[in-house]
Amino acid sequence: MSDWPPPEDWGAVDELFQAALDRPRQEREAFLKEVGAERPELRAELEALLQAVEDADPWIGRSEATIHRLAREAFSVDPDAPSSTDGDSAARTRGSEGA
Amino acid sequence: MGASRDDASREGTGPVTELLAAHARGESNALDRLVPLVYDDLREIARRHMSRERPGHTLNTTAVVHEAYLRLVDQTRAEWTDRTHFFAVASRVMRHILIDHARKRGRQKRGGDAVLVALDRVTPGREDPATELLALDEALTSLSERHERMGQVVECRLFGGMRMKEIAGALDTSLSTVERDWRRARAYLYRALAPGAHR
Repeated sequence: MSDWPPPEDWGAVDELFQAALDRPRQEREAFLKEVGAERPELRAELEALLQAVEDADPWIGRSEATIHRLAREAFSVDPDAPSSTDGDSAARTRGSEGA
Repeated sequence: MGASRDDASREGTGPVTELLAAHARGESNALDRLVPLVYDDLREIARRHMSRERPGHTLNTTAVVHEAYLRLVDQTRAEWTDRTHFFAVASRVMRHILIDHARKRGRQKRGGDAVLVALDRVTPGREDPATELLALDEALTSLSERHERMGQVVECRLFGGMRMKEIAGALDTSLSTVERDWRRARAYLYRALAPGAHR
């Protein structure tokens, strides 16, 4: 995640981002102008986020495909792979203690 | 995984059922405590499902999670909403399992050297899937630090394969809130990770 916006400003960015999304497309430019008049640095951020909304879909689709691919791999029964009694996860150890 | 394993699982429904109820009441650490209790069973069930499928088949996460729910949660004590909440828990467990797998794979590939790669600017489909997943996990963790619910929506959607309506039920919020979170979350993750998305 980028360093901009700084964490203390992030809530404000998120609110304005949603407010921009709630407006019809033709009204967004006017909204951005309004924001930019007070805080020009936020306007650039909001523009980038609105563009990212448009661009994110195919990227998310590829990420989903990656997850499916890894799931296939992680759960494939490979005779050479360590059995389910291996100790590869700290979570397992905590689980047996807690159970 | 014979009879003794099944017996152990039946004895083990108590803690999962109780923690699930605590999670539904909004107790903050219940989710983290549930993850290790569900981890092994979910992995085992997923492996069995995959072994029955054709090569290249996509894991039916919903079926796996439903089976895990029936095995791990005492049906006589569970509320009907617990099933939905369990899906959110299972989504987190799936995330842990896949991250553990990606890390292990990375270690094997690098001959045991734990070399850290730059995790930003990772292109899905072009990089090693394990590297891609670790980058996504890192960005998702950052997002959750800023907005917990938004992070959970992404987790349920990407790792649990849950539908928007199911996520709304699991997170006790409205469908429109989930849809709005998901829309913004995608933009944040894209901006954090995708090459060409300037920051």
